Parts: sequence; C-alpha cells; structure tokens
Amino acid sequence: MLLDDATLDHLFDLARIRREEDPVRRKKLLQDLSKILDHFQELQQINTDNVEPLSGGTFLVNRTRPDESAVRDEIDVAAQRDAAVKQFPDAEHGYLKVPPVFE
Amino acid sequence: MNFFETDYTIEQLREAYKRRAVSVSDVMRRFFEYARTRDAAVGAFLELFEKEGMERAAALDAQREAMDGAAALPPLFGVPVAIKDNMLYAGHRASAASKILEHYVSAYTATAVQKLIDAGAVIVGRTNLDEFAMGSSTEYSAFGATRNPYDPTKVPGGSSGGSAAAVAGNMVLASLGSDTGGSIRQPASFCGAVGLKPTYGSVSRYGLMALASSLDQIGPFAKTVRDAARVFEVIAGPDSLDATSAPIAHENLLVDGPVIKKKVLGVPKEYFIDGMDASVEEAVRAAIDRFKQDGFTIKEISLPHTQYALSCYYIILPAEASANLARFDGIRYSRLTDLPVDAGLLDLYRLQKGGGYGDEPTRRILLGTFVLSSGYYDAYYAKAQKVRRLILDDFQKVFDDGIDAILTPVTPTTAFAIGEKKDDPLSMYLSDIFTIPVNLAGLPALSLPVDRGFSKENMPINFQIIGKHFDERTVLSLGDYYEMYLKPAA
Repeated sequence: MLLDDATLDHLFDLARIRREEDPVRRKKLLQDLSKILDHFQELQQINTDNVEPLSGGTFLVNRTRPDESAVRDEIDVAAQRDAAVKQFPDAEHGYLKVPPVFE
Repeated sequence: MNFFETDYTIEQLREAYKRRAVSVSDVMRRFFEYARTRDAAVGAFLELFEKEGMERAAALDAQREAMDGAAALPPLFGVPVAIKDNMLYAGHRASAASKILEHYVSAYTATAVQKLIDAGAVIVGRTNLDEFAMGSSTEYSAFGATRNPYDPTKVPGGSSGGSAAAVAGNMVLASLGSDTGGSIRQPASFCGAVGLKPTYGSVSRYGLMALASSLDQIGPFAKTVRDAARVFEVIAGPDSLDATSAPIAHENLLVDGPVIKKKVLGVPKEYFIDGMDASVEEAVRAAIDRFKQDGFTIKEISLPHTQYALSCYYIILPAEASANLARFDGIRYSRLTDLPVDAGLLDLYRLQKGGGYGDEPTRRILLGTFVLSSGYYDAYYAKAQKVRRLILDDFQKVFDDGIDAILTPVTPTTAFAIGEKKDDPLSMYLSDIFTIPVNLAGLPALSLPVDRGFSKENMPINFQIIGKHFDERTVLSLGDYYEMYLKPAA
C-alpha cells in the first residue's frame, strides 16, 4: 500500500495533528508508513471466513459497580478534584475553560 | 562505592530485617547514594524521590519499633521499588516520557502503586520509557535514552527500559513496568532481569496511562522469580476501579517441585526462525534441555498463526492508541504553547499535537487513524481482529491437547546498539515478534535469564514461559524451579 501525499494530509487532519511541512521529514514519514502498511498485506493471505472478531484476550466480561463516586474512601474527594483542576491549562471558578467550540 | 552493596534479593533483605541486622533507613540511604552515582551512566530514572523516600524509611523503622517482635513484616516492608513513569502517583509528576506531559502532576495514585505502598515498599523514583510506552529500546523517550547497565553502548530494551535497567543495575530490588506487546519481557531479556507479564485482568490498570486498552498489563521486574512472584502477589487481584480486572485471587503462587515436575511443556516450532541470533537459539535450547534432562515431558507443538501476530498487533495497537492519545489535546492536561488570540478549538488541537508528540507516537496515531478510517476499516482493523481470534485459538488448542506451559525465546537478538534501529520502525517492531502473540491472546508469560553472570562480552539472554489464562502459578513455579539449575553446586 503506497500512501500518497493527499492521504497523509487527510490523516493529519483526522487525527487533529498539524500537518508536517518539512519535505525531508514528510518523505521519511511516507516511506515508513508505506513500508509498514505493505507488511500488513500478509494478513490478506489468511482465510478468515466465519471467524468471529476478537476484541480482547480473555473470556471475562466487564464487571460493573454502582454508579457512585468510586474515589477511595480515605482520599479527600475535594482535594482530588482540586488536584485535577490544577492540571487544567485554563480554568475558571474550578471549571475547565475551553476555546469556543462553535464559531 | 562497592558495586555489590545493593546486590541482593528481596528474600535476603527480609531475612536481614527479621534478624534486625539492618534498618530501613540504612538500606534506603545506601540505595539512594548508589542510584545517584550509578544512574549517571545508565539513565534509568527520570526522577529520584530521595527526600520523601528517606522520610518514609524513618517512618517504617518507627513502625517496626512499635511492632510485636513476633509479628510478620508486611510483604514488601522496606523494599526499594521503582515505578515506570506511565503510572500515576498522587502529587508526583507523571510524564510518560513525553513533552506533552512534562509538567503533569498526578491527581491520584494507580491501584498497583498504592498496593506497593500498602505492602510497605519505598517508592524510589520514576523510570524512563519510550514515549507513551511506544517502542522497544527506550530511545524514543523525549528525555534521552536509557543505557544497558552491562554495556552503555547498547539499549536496555523497551518500552519499560528504565525499570529493567534500575533492577539490573542494582539501583532497586524490584520495579513495575507495563507490557502491551513485550514491554516488560523484552527489556528483562536485554538486561538479564526477571519480568512477568500477567494475564490480562490479573492486575488493575487503574492509574496506568492507557496505550492499548485491550492489551496493556502492569507487571513486576525483579532479580529472581521468587521476588517477582512476591511483588505480583501484592499488586494482583480485583479492583472495583477497573472494570476489566478479574475477580480472581492470586496467592500461594509457588508450588513444590514434585507437583511442578508433572507439567507438560510445549515448544512451538514457529518460534525458532531464520534471522534469529544463533547465540539466542542455542541458549533457549539449552534451557529447554535442562528441563528435559530433569525428567519433564517436552513436546513439539505448532502455533501456526504466529508469523501473522506482528501485523495483527501493529494494526490493533495503533487503532486503540490513536483513540487513547486523543485526550492529550491541550485542554485537560498541559498546554505547550500560548494560543494566538483568534485561535479556535481545532487550532489548539493541531498546535498541541503537532508540537508535542515525538516521531513514534505520531507514526502510530497516523497508522491507527488510517486503519480505522472509512474505506480501510474492514481490510485492516476488522481483519486484524479476526486474525487475533485465530492466534488465541492456536494457544487454546495446544492447552486443550494437554500442554500446561509453553517454552520459547523472548526476542530474536541480544541487546542491540544504541541508534541501530531507531530510524527503521519496522525493524524495531520485529524485536517483539515472540512476545506479541501473548498479549493478543491475553496470556501470562514470564521472561527469565537462561544463565547468570552477565558482562559486556556476555550479554544476557532470557527465555519465556507462557501459561494458560490466570495460571500465573504454573508459570512462576516453573521459573522458580528452573532457577534451581542455576545455583552453584554445593
């Protein structure tokens, strides 16, 4: 699978990553990704008719718990909340501040 | 500083503590002193927690003073342990070796880390890794490469290279790593340490930065299988904070020789391939021969889809990783640049991710985006999930046929040179070819040295023991039994 320039830009846009503009780095990236995608072609040799897709390795199912705050008892809930808010690059009155979503 | 001053096992340290031959403060002072000097040449640590480590040591000494003399010490009492820097520890930085999280401070503590602390361990520091655990050499850290303690021109493996090097370099007695495709077992092999990748679900992932959520597991590094089993027993078990943690207890993990000798061991022919180092094949065959000569039943088996595991993995992992890494968008975590006044949300995302991620995370996010994108999903991601089923079926079939555990190499080569594979991602990926199938199938596997006595000329080679789901007991017991062969003759 040879990746072309337009597809690479499309992927950058989908992934919300700024497009790589440096021609040398761009060429290397295209080569690396193409080589890796080429390698994946070997999977097409395998017959997977009637094979159920597998999304995890074990036979267990997710375990649920009551829909309550799961913070460990001994931890001060407010302190933990403050610690999280403190990591926000931009906050106001303890709330996360986000640039405008709609223009 | 005498190199051997920190060169002992958890079992030996416990004996010394029991006899009251040494205090935790004495032990920790020595470890911190040694780690400070030794790590200048290795670079295993991103940060040492020396001040609080010494305070903790004093508190543990006071706790012991107050204890009844006959009372048992907690399982990791006064044991110096390091954690990979993709696990949260409240109030401490957790960077994942990425510029994007360089200044991030954990708001809470990972369950596995909390369990270490509750068991009496002293957390010595946070160790280096490939950025977001993506890599096999620790060269993809944004903060510089870690070096192999036995040869500074070579890599320690990865992605948990710092945790492996910290144990092998005698800077701690145990450490935690995470293993998504071999990130505990491969560096354990390159550094000659013992490393366990537990069954998916055995250890809580709460507080582990997610790389690929269906593959990630936390596990221990230690100097002996017995020590690794002790750490695993502490960190394992169900956790209501992780919906994928299994309601299965792990205790009394090491069973006696007569029981373990009845186990039937399989050797898959697909794990001895062209292109692997002759020295690795020879060493792994020698390990298998030791079991055979001791009377174990060894059978040749076939895991026919092994060769497809690498492609399968490098579709599934980037797909999951591209979704998991989307959260480092400059809004909830640190922001790298000041926003232009008129910048919108999309501009922020693009600036943050374009400037923040190194080459390998960028490659994998783009790959993941590609295999999940419209028009390619069925040919790549859906196909890989079906192949994943065939890989699990291969293992299931040999276990159903009476095989109790599987013996294989860990990695096709010994530690390679720094710089050798850094610019060739596909050849870097190939170093995980023998460890990846285990993660796809969710199985437990132990990586342990074939022999002892490593040096620059005699780099370590480990072999791998793969077990059934949640049968860490058989895997660890076989490893513990094997180590008996390595003891010097009396």
